[in-house]
Amino acid sequence: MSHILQFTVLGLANGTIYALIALGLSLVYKATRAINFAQGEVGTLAAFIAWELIARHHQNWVVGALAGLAAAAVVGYVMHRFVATPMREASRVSLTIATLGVAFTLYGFEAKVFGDSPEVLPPPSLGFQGVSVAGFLLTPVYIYAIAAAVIASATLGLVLRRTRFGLGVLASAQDPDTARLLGVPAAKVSAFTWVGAAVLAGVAGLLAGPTQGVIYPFFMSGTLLFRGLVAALVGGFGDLPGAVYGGLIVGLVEAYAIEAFVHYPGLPEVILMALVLGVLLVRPRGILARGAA
Amino acid sequence: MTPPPAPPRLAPHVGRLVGIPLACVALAIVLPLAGAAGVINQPDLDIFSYGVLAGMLALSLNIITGYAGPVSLGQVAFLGMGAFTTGLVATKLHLPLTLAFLVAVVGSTGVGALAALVVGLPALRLRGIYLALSTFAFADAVDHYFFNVQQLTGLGSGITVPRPHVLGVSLHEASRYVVVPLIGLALVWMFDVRLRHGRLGRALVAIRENEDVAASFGVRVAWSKLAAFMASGAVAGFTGALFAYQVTVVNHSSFTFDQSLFYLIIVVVGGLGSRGGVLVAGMLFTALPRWLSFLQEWNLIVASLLLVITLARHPGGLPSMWAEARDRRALQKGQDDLDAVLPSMGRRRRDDHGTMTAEASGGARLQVEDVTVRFGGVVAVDGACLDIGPGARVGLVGPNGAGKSTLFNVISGLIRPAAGQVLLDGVDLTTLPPHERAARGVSRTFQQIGLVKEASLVENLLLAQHCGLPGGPGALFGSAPARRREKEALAQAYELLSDIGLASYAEVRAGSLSGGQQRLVELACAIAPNPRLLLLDEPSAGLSPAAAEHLAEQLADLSGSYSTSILLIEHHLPLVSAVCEECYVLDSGRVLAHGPTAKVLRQPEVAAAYLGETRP
Repeated sequence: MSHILQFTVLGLANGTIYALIALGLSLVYKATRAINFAQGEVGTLAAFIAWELIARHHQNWVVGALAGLAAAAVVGYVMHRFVATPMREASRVSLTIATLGVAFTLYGFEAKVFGDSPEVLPPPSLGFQGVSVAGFLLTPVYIYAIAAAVIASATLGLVLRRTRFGLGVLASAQDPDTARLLGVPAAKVSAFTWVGAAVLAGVAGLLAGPTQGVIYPFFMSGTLLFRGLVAALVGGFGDLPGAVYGGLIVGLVEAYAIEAFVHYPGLPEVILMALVLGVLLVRPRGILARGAA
Repeated sequence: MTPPPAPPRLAPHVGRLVGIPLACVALAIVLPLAGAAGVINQPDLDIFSYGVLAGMLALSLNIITGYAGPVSLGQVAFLGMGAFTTGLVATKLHLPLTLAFLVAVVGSTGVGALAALVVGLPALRLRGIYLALSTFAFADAVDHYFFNVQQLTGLGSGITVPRPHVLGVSLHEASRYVVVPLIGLALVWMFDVRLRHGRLGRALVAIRENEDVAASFGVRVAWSKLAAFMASGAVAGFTGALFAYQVTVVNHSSFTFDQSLFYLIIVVVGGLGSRGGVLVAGMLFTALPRWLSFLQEWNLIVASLLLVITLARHPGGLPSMWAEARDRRALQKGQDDLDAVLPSMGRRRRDDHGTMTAEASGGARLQVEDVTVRFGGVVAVDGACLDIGPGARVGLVGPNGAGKSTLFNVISGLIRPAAGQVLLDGVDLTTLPPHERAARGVSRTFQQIGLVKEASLVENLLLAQHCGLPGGPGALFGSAPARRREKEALAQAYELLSDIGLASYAEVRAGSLSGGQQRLVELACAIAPNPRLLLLDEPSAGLSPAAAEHLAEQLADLSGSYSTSILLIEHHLPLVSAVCEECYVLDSGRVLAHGPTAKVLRQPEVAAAYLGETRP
């Protein structure tokens, strides 16, 4: 019994990281109807910048983290300015493929600058070892992850629903042309979307680095990005609260699958694939959405 | 008037069919000799082989993503499945080497096709981004699960595949094995040309652009997509077999799914749908960094930056840029006077021998009984009844939003009505999909012009004859009867094109013509399959007044010479009066009036519905 509890806590803790990735994916999807395949690699870049400063130049963790987030924000702005804006009229599939190009550009850049070998990004410290919940030690990283997920979703929610600018973002997501005619600043909305998503990716990268053990180029663009995509999908693409619970659900499914099929490495991936197909085919707007599409 | 150009004696793709395969054969002769003589060393030949194999895999991805449209994010999984199949055949079956090689190649091709069929199944319900996600999930699962099964893949140590002996000749050395990928490429290339320029390929390009238009031409959309997936998987699996013999140790680390994503980049940079570009990009981005090691770390960056720049500067990619430039030149060259040649269209049909006549000819009787269509709470069509006798020419008029086009969509099968029936010669069509209605002789035009804009005029006209052409493997591999029918269809296409005065633009993409010219091509497409029921949705929209007048003559002529039934939606009432002896007036989804055209159009309530007068 305690065994199951332990995996539940593990699942939820990992789920918060998936939720952070999913939040960024959903934000971009909401605005552009495209999937941002660079979401993982922007996180990897942030993790590498932080690692460079913390591990190589012995800077404070906070300094490294801020530098990582700043780098992520710059990439986000570049994507807004040089990819999303010129491609405003392009199909969403084209834009999705373009983000794939950004992901591989970053991948190549990281491999060139930081090398291929795995590195250890030290976890953020909290002054104590962590809290034990149901036999599972929640290390400071996880506590940060939970805090980050809560703060990120709350901030996004507040900005989008309570500010004039945020309502403009939501209006653009519904109907970009009408929103622009009504005076919503399209360029600022796009910049907010891409920079916001990139910062979320950076936060996820800083936290996923320590929980994954090692960082290496592309480390967030494989399994982790896939988890985030499944989470966003389960929550209903473009639905921000949905992205959070989607992340938690994926974390739980993964944790239980790992426990149940301990002798079949890789089987959780098959279960997630089944989950993806199930959601796509039966409830494409997310499993908690009102009414099937 | 200049005489119209004759159709090319050979199908237009024959030139494309032989060039690269001949080059492959030449290289297959030269390279082994050069290798044996020591002019080219073995590692360089190996690298060349890898490049060829990469080009083949890129071509396979191009079939799904370039021709049909769905983005496949798991192409390398098919390659891996093919390679491991070859590994199993080579190590477990204990066959003689030559036989093992053949069995492995055939088996891998089959496994690739089957796997792609499974991956393609969601395509029956999913589109675009969501379909891409499902292929992503598949690739991830295959990478992490199936490729990690010790018995299948040997895990870290991989499976050792001895190079084959074929007919007593050992292909062990790179200088000899290089022949195999080259022959493979020649085969894949010819397969690809046949696929793209045959019935299936035209259907795929139509699907990529507009599924409703494709279905109305008689294309089975779902099945065609599955066929594209299978063809693509087969090529990838086939490549996997040759790849297995190339590497000789098949290891799952060759098939990680980031490779799949990289191949997508390659195919987009090469130009989606552009066979040559895709092949070159596949070869270059694989072979060059192996040759020039300093390129290795720049390879990813260069390829992906190229991708981003290409897409951001020209979202359609390089091929659309080239195609636009080519069309501009062609359009500048020919300056046919449309109006001068217009009237010839209907007249020709009289002395036509009807080589392409579908099994059914003569007009059909159309009955629409109590059809109701609701969009949410809005009732677009409300218990409408029409009865169009065989060979009759009937108008359907009414103000905007009366439900005319919706009714067309019901008749052609794009919308299923909430209630009511559609009968063609007494046979209930209500539940039939659009492509089956097209096969029964229902042909239509669209208000927004139902052409495949990215395809050439002649391709559009061939697509319009989709139902009359044989499909299946026979067509794909060019059986004699299939080739003959294609040739007849091509002749018919050119005949129709010269009737509308556009034969000199046969190879120009439909989208680069003017609206009026596109209307004419659409009309030619609609009559190309010899329909029994012709549904025309505002054919005069976008035509000059003079051309609209000619159109009236033609339609009258057409119906007379051809005995097809016509249902015509038109706002230009003189055209309706000239063509239709009978007329229905639709208002707010209901049939307001019906009878002889002249009489109906004089009725006061019809004028009221049109001009918006308030009724007493």
